[in-house]
This record gives sequence, structure tokens and C-alpha cells, in this order.
Amino acid sequence: MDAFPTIASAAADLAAKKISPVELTRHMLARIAKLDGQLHSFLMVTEERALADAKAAEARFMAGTPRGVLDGIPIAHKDIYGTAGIRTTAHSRLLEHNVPAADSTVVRKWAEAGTVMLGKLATHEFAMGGPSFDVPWPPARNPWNTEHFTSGSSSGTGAAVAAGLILGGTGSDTGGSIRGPAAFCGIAGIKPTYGLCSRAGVLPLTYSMDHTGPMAWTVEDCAILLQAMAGHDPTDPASSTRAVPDLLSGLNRGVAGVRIGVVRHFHETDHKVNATVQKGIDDAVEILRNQGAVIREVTLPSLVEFQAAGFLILISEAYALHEKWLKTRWNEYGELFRDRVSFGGLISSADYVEAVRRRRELQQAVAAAMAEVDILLTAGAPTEAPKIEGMPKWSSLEKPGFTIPFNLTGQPAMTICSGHGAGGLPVGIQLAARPFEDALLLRVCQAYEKATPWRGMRPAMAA
Amino acid sequence: MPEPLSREEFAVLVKRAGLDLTQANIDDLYSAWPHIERFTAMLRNPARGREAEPAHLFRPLNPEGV
Repeated sequence: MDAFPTIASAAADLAAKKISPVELTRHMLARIAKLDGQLHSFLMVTEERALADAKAAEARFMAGTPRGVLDGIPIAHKDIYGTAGIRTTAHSRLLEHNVPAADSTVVRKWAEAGTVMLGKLATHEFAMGGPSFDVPWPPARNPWNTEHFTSGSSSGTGAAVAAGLILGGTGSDTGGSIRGPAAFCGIAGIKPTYGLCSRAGVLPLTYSMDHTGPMAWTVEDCAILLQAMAGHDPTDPASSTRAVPDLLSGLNRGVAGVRIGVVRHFHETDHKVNATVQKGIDDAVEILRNQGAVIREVTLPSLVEFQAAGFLILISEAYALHEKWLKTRWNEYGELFRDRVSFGGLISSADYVEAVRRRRELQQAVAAAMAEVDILLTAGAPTEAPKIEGMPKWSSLEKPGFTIPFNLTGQPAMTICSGHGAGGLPVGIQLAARPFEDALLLRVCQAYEKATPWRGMRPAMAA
Repeated sequence: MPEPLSREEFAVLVKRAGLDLTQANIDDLYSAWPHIERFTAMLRNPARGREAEPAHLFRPLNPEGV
């Protein structure tokens, strides 16, 4: 077995009977037991369930009836994804004893594909911001340096994938919660087109900006996972009725002729990135150009305009969800979540409506710019991961993030590793495509990933 | 941009929202309130007509409930 199998390599080994699902699952459980005491990426390890899933997968392989590429693959779920009979807490004291009766749609789909569920992963409280030290479980730590932040909120998934404790996992993304941890933990994470993947059964942060999506070590693994989670779900009112695109067959088709728009002002003016991130972007441009992509520069509204509309919509909708508990159970929340979301109760209804009107204008501006390009390219995060202790409480309000524009527009966006900076900590680039062009986005990311050495490097603590 | 809220006016907003906070909580939130005022001011676009960019489109359900 590879020291660090990917989903694709493990699937090949399982199909060739070089390993069994039970052996693979025991290998991952042993890694979790050895390393997660330092990382805190899991809130719960479901060992018994994992071994039962693995034995069922093994029986299918022995009978010659495996369910497909995900059969026997060990994964885990962010702890906002409802899991039948298994505690689902949103990393919050308020839901410390919450046990859903049913699986969320995505959990059910991955289970039906044959995955092995290793457990439930850390988030930040109710999938917002972080890190918090005053909630019942500690925040996940970055495996590249455990004194550093993972970003969030899909923090446990980012840490567990990077450390090789799981082969893939679920994330959710309302303002960047898949793409932030992908950047800081040096993995791949895609926020699919809004409506492509069901939100049903996933604890919400907002009504209009939440996306579910996969996180894994490679772009190919993300494509495999996304293929298994996408599709119409009548129980999610935002779910698209479009046919699920084939995300895998064209993955290695390359980028010749693809028009890539670099949103230079995002990372050079609106929020100037550090030298490592800038080099990652510049190198990516050259790599993609050398493979035949057509590179252009694109101008969009300023990042801060996306931040203003996005933050006000987010806190308004989150406040509506949490109003009752904020009024009656204030002290049971972590400080960071309750203080940020409380602003949603202090702004006016006109503020919210103006934010939604501005959202439509921003969406139209991005759509117009994308008439001339197929893909947008900018930073995934402005720097390497900062230290986890002592992060300023209101820092997310001071400088705009790079990810929230695509939560407002609903278009697919992906962050992948683009190098390593201070102390070996990774940095990431972010690419975005037009709505429902998730397959093209994955193809461009795959072309970049295959041309770079970053997938050969893992955190030292994980060795 | 409108005049910034005073600390006392901000406390009234908190009370109106029904949040039962300590003075320390209120002071902490007030320290970040200028960011929120900056955002709300940014979204007011005098060039945007009253009819422009409807924020919410209401569509009746079809008989299948979709």
C-alpha cells in the first residue's frame, strides 16, 4: 500500500485485490489513533461503524460486485452533516447531544457508493469563522505546523486530509469554508455550483450562500467525490434539476485554448498578498500558458464590495436562524460566533435588501466579465496560515477575503496548493468557472496540479 | 455616510433586538460596529433606480409544488 494512498490509487489497489477494504480501514484508524491527539481533526471516530462498512465492502469485492470507485474508501464528514443515529453537533454546546434520525442526502449518497465512514470532523461553531477555544472541543490544528491555524470552517476535513487520516471528506462553504482550509492545509477543495449538491440534512449557516462540497488530496479525488454527491434532490429547494455533468472523463483533456482571466486587482491591490502567494499565482499563469491556455487580465468590482454584501447577507440570514437561541442561550455559544452573528440583529431590513440587490449587480458584473474568459484565477488566501493562538477577533472584517465573491455568484470555485512558504506552510491559488461548468474547472485545476510537484509533499508530522 | 452611532444609541439597538448583554459585551460589539456601518453605507447606491435589480423574485409554485 502507498504510504499516502489517494482515492484513485486506493481504488485501483482495491480493484486489483492488492489490499482489502478492512486492511485499508484499519490502516486509517491506526493513523487517526497515532496522530489525531495533536490535530483534533475528529470530534468522533466511529470505529465500529467504519469496520462494519469495510466488511460489507469487502464482501462485495469478494462477490465480484463492488459498487464503483468509492467502494471501500475511508472518508469522514464535517460535523454539520446529519448522520442517522450518530451525534451531529456543529461543534457547538447547543447541539452537544443532537442525534439526527436520518442521514443528510450527501451522507446517504456517499454511503450508497460504498464509502467507509471513519467519523465526524471538527468545524468551527455552526460552520462560521473560528478558531474558538470556548466551545466543548478544541479547534483542529494545521498538520504542517500544529501551532498554526487550519482556516475554517471545514477545519477538521482540511487537517485530516493533509495528514493522511482520511482519503476525502465533506466540507461546506458559505464564505470560503472549503477553500480556506484547502489553501492553509495544502489540499484540494471545490465549492461546486450552487444547487449542484444537496444541502438537505446539513445544519445551515445561511439560507442563500451555503454550499456543500468535497475536499481531498488531489483534484482527481475531488472529482470522484463530487460525482458521487452531485444531483437533484427534491428535498432541497435550491437543488438544480440539471443532469449531473460527467466530471471525470474529460479531466485529463488539458487546457489548450481555455481562456483564463487573472483578477490581478483582487490580489495586488484590493488585498495585497504576500510574496509566496504572488509567486504561486505568477507561476500558475506561466504553467497554464505553456500548456496552451490563453491568459488575459480581468477587472471585477473591488473585493471589498463583495465583502460588504456577502457579510451583511451572511449575518442577517444566520441571525434569523439563531435569533431564538441568541436571545435565550447567549452564554452557551462561543464568543466568536455569537458576537459576529449578533450584528445581523442590529442592521435594518433595508440594509439586508440593499445587500441582496447589490449581490445581483455583482453577479451580473462577474457574468459580463466571463463572457470573454472561461476561468478566473486569483489567490486562495493572502498568506500562509497564521498562528492559531492570538488571532485578532475582528480580523475578518478588516480585510476582504478572496473566496466570498463566488458564494455570492454561486459559480464553482476551487482552491489547490500552489507552493510552500514560511516554515513549509502551504499556499493556494483559487480558480472559478461559470455556473455549472464544474467539469471545466476541475480540468484546469488538474492540468496545473499535474505540472507541479506539490502533491509529492506531505506534512512532516504525518510521515 | 450617516453620522456614526453613539455608544448609547448602539446599546438601544442591542436592547431592541432583544439581546440581553452585559456592558462588556456591548462595548466589544460596539468596537467593531464601524465596520458594519462602512458595509451598509457602501451598499447604498444613489445611481440605482428604485425599480433596478429586484432583490427577490417571487415565483408561484407549479401544481407539482416545484
